Amino acid sequence: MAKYSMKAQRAASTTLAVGTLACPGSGMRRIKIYDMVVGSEATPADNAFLWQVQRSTTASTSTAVTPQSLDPADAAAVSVGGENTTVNGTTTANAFLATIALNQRATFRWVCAPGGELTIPATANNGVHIMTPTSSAVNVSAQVYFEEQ
Amino acid sequence: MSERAKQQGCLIITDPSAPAAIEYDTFTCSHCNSIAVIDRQKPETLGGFCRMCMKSICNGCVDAVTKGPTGCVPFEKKMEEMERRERLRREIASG
Repeated sequence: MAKYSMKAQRAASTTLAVGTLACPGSGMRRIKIYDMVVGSEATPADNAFLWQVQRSTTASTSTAVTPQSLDPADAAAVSVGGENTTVNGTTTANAFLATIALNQRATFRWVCAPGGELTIPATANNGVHIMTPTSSAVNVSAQVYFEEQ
Repeated sequence: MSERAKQQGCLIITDPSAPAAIEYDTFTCSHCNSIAVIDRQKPETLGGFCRMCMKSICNGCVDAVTKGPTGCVPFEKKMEEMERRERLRREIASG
């Protein structure tokens, strides 16, 4: 299984996603997120942040981000990455895969053991949105590592 | 490695105001695929263990299994259903 990495960055918004990762409209593969790092690169300040990873079923409107293969010998990812979202896709109510409250100064990294990945089904446009429903409008970034199956 | 240990993950929070990086164990719920953070000081964050699929489940899914009509529906099975529906939709659309 090929592994990929994608970054997402934006001035945090309480409504719009920092980044999205989703299956394409056709030729889908399962996406398995196994590592995720989020934080803020803005001037340190005491702001409250809530980070959430929420499932979505339709594509968002965002700046395209091409996932990079960790092994250059692997084929390009079929998954679709996006950042600086201007219109969210349809998010699934209550389908929060992760909810982490953090100070802006803090960074968090989540890594799973094999078998504990956050999995996106091989279904057209299904994916996840990385959201900051509680935030100040400072720059934030997320780095997501995943594999396609 | 036990089923429970296999599903473990790690959450590392690096906060400049903390003396060291803060680490929490996590597990991924076998029924809803969400990350559950384990705080060893709070036993209620340990979630539960489904004896049907023999995997860890989050507190929300413990409630659904014990109090609701859903029973054990592993996330893998839900995904297979979603993918099967998608294939059927495509077959119908392509005639």
